[in-house]
Amino acid sequence: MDDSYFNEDDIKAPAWDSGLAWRMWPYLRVWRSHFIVAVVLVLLGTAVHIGLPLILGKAVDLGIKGKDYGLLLHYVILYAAGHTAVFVLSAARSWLLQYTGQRVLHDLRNALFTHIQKLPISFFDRTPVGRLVTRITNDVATLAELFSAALINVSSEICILFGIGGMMLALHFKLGLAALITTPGLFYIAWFLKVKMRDAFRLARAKLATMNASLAENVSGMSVIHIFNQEPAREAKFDQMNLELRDAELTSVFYNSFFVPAVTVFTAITLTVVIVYGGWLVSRNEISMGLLITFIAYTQAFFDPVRQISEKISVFQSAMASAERVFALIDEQPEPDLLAGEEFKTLHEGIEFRNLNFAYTPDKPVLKGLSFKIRKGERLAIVGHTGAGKTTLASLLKRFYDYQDGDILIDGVDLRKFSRTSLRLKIGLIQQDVNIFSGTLLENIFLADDRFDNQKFDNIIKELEMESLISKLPEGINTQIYERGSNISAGQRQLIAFSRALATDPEILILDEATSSVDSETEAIIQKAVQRLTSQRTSLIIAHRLSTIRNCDRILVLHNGRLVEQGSHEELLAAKGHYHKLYELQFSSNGGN
Amino acid sequence: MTLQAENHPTPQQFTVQLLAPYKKYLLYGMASLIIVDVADIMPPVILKYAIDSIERGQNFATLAWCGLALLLTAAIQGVFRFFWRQFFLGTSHNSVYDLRKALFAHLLKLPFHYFSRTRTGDIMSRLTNDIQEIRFMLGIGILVVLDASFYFLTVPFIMLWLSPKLTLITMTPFIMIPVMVVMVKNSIHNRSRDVQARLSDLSSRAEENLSGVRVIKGFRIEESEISRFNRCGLEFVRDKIKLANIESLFHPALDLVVAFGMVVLLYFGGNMVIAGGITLGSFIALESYMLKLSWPMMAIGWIINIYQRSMASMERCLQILREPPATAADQQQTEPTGTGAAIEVSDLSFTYPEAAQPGLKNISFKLGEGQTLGITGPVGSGKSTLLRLLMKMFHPGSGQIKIGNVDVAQIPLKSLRELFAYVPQETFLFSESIRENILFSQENKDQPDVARSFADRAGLGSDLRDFPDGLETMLGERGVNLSGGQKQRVSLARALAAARPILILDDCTSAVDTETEQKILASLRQNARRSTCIIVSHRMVSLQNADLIIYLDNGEIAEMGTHQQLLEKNGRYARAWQRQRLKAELEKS
Repeated sequence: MDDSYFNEDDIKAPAWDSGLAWRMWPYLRVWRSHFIVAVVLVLLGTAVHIGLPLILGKAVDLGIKGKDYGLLLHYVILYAAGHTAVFVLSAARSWLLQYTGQRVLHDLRNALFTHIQKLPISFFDRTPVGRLVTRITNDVATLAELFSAALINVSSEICILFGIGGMMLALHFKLGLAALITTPGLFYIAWFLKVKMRDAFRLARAKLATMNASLAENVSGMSVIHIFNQEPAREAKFDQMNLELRDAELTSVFYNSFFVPAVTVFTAITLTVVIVYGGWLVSRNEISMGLLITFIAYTQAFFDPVRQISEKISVFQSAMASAERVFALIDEQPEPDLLAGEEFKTLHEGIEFRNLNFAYTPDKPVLKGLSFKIRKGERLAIVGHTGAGKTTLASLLKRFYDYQDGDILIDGVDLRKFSRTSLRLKIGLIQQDVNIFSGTLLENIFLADDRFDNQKFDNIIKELEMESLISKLPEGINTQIYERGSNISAGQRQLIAFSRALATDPEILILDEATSSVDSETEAIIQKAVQRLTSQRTSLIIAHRLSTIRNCDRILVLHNGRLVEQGSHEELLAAKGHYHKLYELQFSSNGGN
Repeated sequence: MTLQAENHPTPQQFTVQLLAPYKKYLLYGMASLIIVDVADIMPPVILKYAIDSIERGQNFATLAWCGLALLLTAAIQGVFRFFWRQFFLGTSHNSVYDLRKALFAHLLKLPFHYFSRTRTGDIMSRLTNDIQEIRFMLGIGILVVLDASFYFLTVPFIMLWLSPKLTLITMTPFIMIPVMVVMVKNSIHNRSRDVQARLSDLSSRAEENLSGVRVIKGFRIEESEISRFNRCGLEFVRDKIKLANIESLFHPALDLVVAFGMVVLLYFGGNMVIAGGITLGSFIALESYMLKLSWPMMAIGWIINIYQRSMASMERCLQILREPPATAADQQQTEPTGTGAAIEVSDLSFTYPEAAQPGLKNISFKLGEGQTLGITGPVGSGKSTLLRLLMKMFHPGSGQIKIGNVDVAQIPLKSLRELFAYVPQETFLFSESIRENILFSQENKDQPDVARSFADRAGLGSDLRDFPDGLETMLGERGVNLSGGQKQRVSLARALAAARPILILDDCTSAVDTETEQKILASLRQNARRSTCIIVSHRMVSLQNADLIIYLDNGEIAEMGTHQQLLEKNGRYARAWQRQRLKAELEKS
């Protein structure tokens, strides 16, 4: 509706937010022993790394310049041992980090997915599916990458950085200082570029999310695009987004391109300082040639971590951006504990709506002061125009939304005292839009593996007379149904919706226009089943067609969120009001010629 | 530029095609790279002169000149390293822009059945994750390949110049590298492919779950969904760790080979320096060059890895591009369209690709221009299938469909679709404004008045006033969610606005209340009088005015005729009609 919704991805936040970083702790903590081992491997690796140039220097001074073949061999063996240790340590570290990283990623992905499952329906009303998929896949991967491999690797680089720096100062303070003198300048440049790089990166991510959302939509609606010959128009629209993404990426590349050259220049300056000043020191016999060679090796090794870290800055940037979005999602208020409250088991007296007001958005009330009662075992029909608020009633009963004002009472007890779980399971809702998942017919009916029940399944098939439908499917109940049910008909989808409701054996049944897209023969079957179901259960039938509600005990007529009439069919007809008008129209279209 | 996969290019050939338009930038990039690398291989030689001068105890001036030379090489590198990144990385972003564009354009051309058998998440994964892999190869990958090649082609020769004997000895361990590379190449490739496939499964799973979140919450199966997702995730982790097993050994092993070169150098080089065979400066320069070679060595493993991954990803993108477009047959088709919108179907049969029984059997009927056809029948009797064949979403198994006296097989798809306005059973609207949705097929979408008039005709007028921004109200994921009936009416308005000779209503007023439906039907009778109409409905009253009514059962025409004829036949149609009529009578009493 407004721009802020779609541009949510553009939110600004600090570059390194230690608060955000701390929030990763619970996911890392589980694997802390793995991380401790990794850190030990890192420290050992650092020690060997720092030791190798020293061995080299000693080999030059004592072996080569000392012309001692035996001592040279001694150092060569030490040197070889050092490199072998590097191999073992880095292979172990690499494997451990990949392993732990994947486990952390898996935990985080599950935590996010689990959290999303707990969010209220209102959250899904305002969030595109494509964006959530990006969060669960890409953002989580980037984040886990940072907190496992990147962070440990960068710590390792930093250890080497400080180790070499400290070693240089310890070996020869003045030469060490001279070698390190340029480092603050490099850090300053890095800091300056960081901000620019982060902004550019964030923009690129936002554009990517926008493009992905649009892509998912276009793929889902492909048949509509085809039928209306709108390929060129959609292509142009997509191209616009694609272009914006590319340009954002190019800006990001531009700022990134400054960093590595800067490191190169600083390496060369330092090397020059070491050679010229160090060479001068050697010529004055203040240091040995071996020490100069150790320093040269250190200088070359010193800037390699800087380069590595700079390469990883982009990983950091993107990970912080991902962290913001992932934790923003985790901060979304979930529905309160679905099990909290009393368990709703059976209805004893009835349901009462008392002066109920409800609005999805504050300025647009959907239900206005609605009051009525459903008695236990009663079959109540609700009729009214499209958008009169009928469907909303079903959502409120299942506690998909919380109402602001008024009461819904079950046996005189506030609806909100009952747990959402029990309400959702015991109030069966059959909706007009049937969501079919990829999986077998059986899985689509029971939805969860642990609910599968052979006896129940046979009963459902019998009640809905689905034998002929099943025999038409190539592999019967084990036939794979594609995503969105694209290989079965709308009527078959509707039958699945009915079966699903039967499978949970609900106490209260809500039919939301469920029979609307079924042909008359199937409707007869379903009407029979509905008849059987509703005769044992309190039921609320939301329908546009009066034919589906002729068996109802009482009819409520809603208009613009208000209850305008109620009574039996005969009473309402006699009243010659709103219902009468609806009825006349239905009759004239059914019987007129 | 057009990227096509018609000649069945290999992933490698296609990569070349993809880069072709940016040849110029790649050349600039290569020039920058050569300048950078030349400047980068100078320092060890400069180092040699510096150390040798110190060893000889020469004056400070030589040392200063060496320092200056070092700074100069650094300055050159600084400038051109900026350019090489710009050119190579910039090209990668430009190329994947083209690839995405080509993929999307191709997706738009693919036939209906492609989308019914392919999961959205799978397509999404190819257009996001796989493209990411490809971009990595095209950018950093190419840069590193060229960089590494340059070092391999120059550094060994400088080393030979410094000391042929020592170079030959120290390079011996390097023979191991190609051996190692060949050994692991295939397993890395296969395992990467598995990882990509698992990732695709995972995002499909998430996508499907999130799209059906209302059902999931309504039936309280969140926990079961979480454990399903968990299983998917574990499979991904398992395959990813299989890949890590190889990768984490491979890269350090390459390093080790270089390290052994250094060890050999220290031993033999040291001995040679002691014996006076080479200077200490040359020894240090050789040591430096060995270090410089270690980076390209490491890069080999890394490049092979991303090359394998990107080619696997490219293959997955090519799979989309290789899918024959729905318009593939259009080249041979000469007839644009026939004259008029009369429809003649003769002996039409059709079986869905994976179905056990035919969806349609021996369907024949004729419908004059401007006439209305009503289709009814039980669930799964082939009503929607017939419509899909008419609109050429599928090709008939046997038999013929003629529109305007021309076989539809002869009509190019694009021209054929100009004939139809379709209101599908499953409403699909875009996350755009109501206006844009109604004027979906219009070139100029900036005509609020036109949109409003079609909204009125579809019975949406009064609802519009209730929406926060009227016609400009944003729909779907980005805005408000309409009720089922409102969605159907927007969909109807969209079809009416398309103003095509044949209007198809596929059971599309099911979620609209009676009062509104009456208005809509009346307005249709008035405004669509010249159109040929096909109405699929379960409600006989919607069909009774049709010029021809077909009662389908099990893919066959059970009964056919006008309302009156079918009633006289006293068959299934008549029985269904009676049933509906009886209901109305009951309600009346």
